[in-house]
Amino acid sequence: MKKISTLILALYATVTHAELQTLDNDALQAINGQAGADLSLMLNLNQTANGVFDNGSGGVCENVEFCHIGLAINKRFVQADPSKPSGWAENSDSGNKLWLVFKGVQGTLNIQKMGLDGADLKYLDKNNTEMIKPAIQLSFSAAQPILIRNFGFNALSIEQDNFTSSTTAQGSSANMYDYAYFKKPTYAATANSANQQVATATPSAYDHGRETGFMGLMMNGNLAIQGKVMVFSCDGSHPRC
Amino acid sequence: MTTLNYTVRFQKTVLASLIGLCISQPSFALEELSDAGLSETTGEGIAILPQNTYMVFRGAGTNETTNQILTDRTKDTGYINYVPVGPLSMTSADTNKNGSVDSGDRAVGKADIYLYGLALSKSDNNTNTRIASTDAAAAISSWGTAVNPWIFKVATENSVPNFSANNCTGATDPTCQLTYLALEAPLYEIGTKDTAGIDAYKLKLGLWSDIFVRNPNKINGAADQFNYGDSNGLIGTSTDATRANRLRLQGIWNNFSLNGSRLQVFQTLGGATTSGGMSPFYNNTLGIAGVIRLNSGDSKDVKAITTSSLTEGSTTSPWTLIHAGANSTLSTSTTGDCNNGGTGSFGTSAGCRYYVEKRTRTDSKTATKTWDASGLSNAGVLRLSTRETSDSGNLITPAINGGVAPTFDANEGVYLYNPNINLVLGTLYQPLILGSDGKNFSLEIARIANKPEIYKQIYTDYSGADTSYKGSTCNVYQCGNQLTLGGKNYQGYNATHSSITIGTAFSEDGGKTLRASTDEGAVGISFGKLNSGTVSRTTSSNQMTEVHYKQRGVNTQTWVQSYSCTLFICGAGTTGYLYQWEYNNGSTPWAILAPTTKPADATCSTTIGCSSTSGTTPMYGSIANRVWANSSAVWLTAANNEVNNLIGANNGMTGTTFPTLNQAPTPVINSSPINNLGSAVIDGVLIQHLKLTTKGL
Repeated sequence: MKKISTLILALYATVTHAELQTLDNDALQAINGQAGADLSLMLNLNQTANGVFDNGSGGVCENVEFCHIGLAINKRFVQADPSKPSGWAENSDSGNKLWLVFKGVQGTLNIQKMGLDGADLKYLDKNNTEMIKPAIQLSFSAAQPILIRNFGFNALSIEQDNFTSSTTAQGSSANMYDYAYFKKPTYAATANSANQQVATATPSAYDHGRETGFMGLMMNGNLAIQGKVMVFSCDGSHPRC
Repeated sequence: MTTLNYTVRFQKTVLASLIGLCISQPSFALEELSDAGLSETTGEGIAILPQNTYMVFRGAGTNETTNQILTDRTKDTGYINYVPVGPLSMTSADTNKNGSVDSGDRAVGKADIYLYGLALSKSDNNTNTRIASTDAAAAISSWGTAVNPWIFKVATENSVPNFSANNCTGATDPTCQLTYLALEAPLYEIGTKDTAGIDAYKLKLGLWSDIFVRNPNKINGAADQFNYGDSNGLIGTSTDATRANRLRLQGIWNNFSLNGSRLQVFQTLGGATTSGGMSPFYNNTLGIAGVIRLNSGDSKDVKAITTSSLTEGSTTSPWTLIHAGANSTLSTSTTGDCNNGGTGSFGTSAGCRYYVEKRTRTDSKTATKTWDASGLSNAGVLRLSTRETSDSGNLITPAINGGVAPTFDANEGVYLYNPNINLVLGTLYQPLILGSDGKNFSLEIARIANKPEIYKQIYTDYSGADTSYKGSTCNVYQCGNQLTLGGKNYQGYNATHSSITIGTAFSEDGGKTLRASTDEGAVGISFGKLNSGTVSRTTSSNQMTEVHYKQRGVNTQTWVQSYSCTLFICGAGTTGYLYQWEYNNGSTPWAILAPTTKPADATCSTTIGCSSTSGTTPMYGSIANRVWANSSAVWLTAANNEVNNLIGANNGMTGTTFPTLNQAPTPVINSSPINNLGSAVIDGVLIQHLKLTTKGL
């Protein structure tokens, strides 16, 4: 991390420097004839070294609530309403906030090799004059695929806070388990619910003990990608921007 | 926890490019950007241009050479697993709907879906490969062009009508300003495509999948986890190790493009209340608008070539005897009561006067049509198939049991030829939004507000008379307002109606509406590959009969056969009669065959020597006179009721001759193969309001 942090800091530093000179397209094109960088990047999230969910004793996900990702991106709440079959009525402004919670988020992603180079692209800009644009060129080789191991999540669930919030005020609680994204109910083995377990009318041995939700997604394999991707800034002179 | 491993060797060019990307806008010093300044900034983003690229999801394992990856399909076992979570709902488990889950319910289970070997490349036009076998053939040389790349951008649009009853007051009205994040594919080019970006219109997608029905009573990973029968019983109790609880499916899609697609993510505008069918849930929440375009290209000429030919035939029988003119009733015998073989008296009825023959003719026409499908080999095809060429276990899958990817039959399955799918799902003023009651979720395309400012943007006046209605249909010919980039024309993405065509389709009005082709060569949906073939069909006329006949008549000659002579007085004489046949030889008088000369008249004289008699009467023609074959009678065809009555209707009628033209009806044949279900068009689909809600989560 130290090196990356340094790099990022360095970038920030250069950007914020008040006497920075314009590095325009011409200046960028003047630099040539040098090889780029080859990157390899391995991401291991919530897994042991052999790509298994690390929820054993002492593992990072021994407490599964810490291996959740919660998203609340669309202003949805529920308010208690005994007249509804679920006991809750939807509300768009206030109530217990709803979260989309990814549970058991995990995965190992190993980008064995990604080439990072610069390249020039030519196109006609909005004034129909030819533009030479420097671009970042990311390249991949199928012979060195991206290794994906058990990348995904165990369950996707909609959970709600145990306290009320509104569009203008975020509620809070002293108990972490009142927050939707820390909730970790699992399916009970029987129709009777035990502590932290969800009763179910149709008990299932398959689901017993799993965190609640409605679907999971898991990827496994070697993603062989061949080719390169040019990435460049689409500024105001580009006809598409 | 996140662990990062990295090896980085930066060179100057890379750093320069990075910096360039960060600060491509010239700036000497950072300054605060005012709102006014921001609002002047329009549509800047990151352009992305993949080149020489393909992708295959291989099974986890050691690195392979590109040749192995492209040619060895058995290792296409990298997968995406859709994991079922949660027990069955009461609705699905209670199959007999008696209100409880009990032994009367059928076996049901959740689906466990494995998508394998996802491959994206340039099309090789083969409907049974998932990728071409060489690097050069498999690589998409450029997915877009520098002037028309993929774009990831943020932009602000002014004057977007909101859900309130009030109209926007102008471009500066903040309640009508909407900022969105958009991912845009390259635009769809009109006319001849730029060669640099042509591969974007020839994509190929390949994948296969195993879809299981899970037995809820078995824990994940149990050896018998997919053993499930279909008997009644409590959920999961019916087990059957041999039942095929797996759907193995292959999907191949050749020659399609994503061009013109766009996905926008934004915060919806406000103003909706519970009145007018609207909902406050529409306000200021996450909105999505998507134009999803999966086009194989203009399909008006995507069809088989039909060539047809017609041959005519005719079979005429030889003349056959139906009446020999020897008997008073119909007979082919040469003897009979006409006494043709005798010397005495003979019959003179119609049966004795006509000699009749007939012949028959049957016409035929053979139409042959060839349906040449060879031109379809480059067409876009979406194919789903299930049959393997070698059987594998019914309940295994490489993700669980190891092993290799299956080999699929080359020609089986559903073929959707040249699909053009253009879906408009939501717009900035009719967004796609998400909702939830805490457990279940819903996807909703907001109701179109009853507000001219909005619905005039959406509805279409197909007559074109009222131009204030801006809506139009997105199809392969058009998708909203045309754009020009670098001197080339591209379709837009602001159409409002969706369309789907499968197979041969065309537009009669310059792209506004679509029609499915009814042409014989039209293709579309078929079960199994469409192959060339030749069909022919022969039709026959009814049997026609022609009759001709020879005719004879009785020639009667008279002479004075005798006088009575008494006492030298000649009394009144007796007339002698000679009867013989005269044959119609086409001239008048008819010819008497082997004529017998009548005797000279008897003489009578008052003197002694009176002969008084000459010959006997009656006299009849000789045998030779009676032989039809020796006569000079000519064949006659004129209508003759006597003959008609003699031969009866079954033997035809006199007076008719065979027509010159072939009398067979022209065969109607369709050369299109029986597995070709033809083309289909769904056009001008507008979603007024759609809400999909899950149950039982």
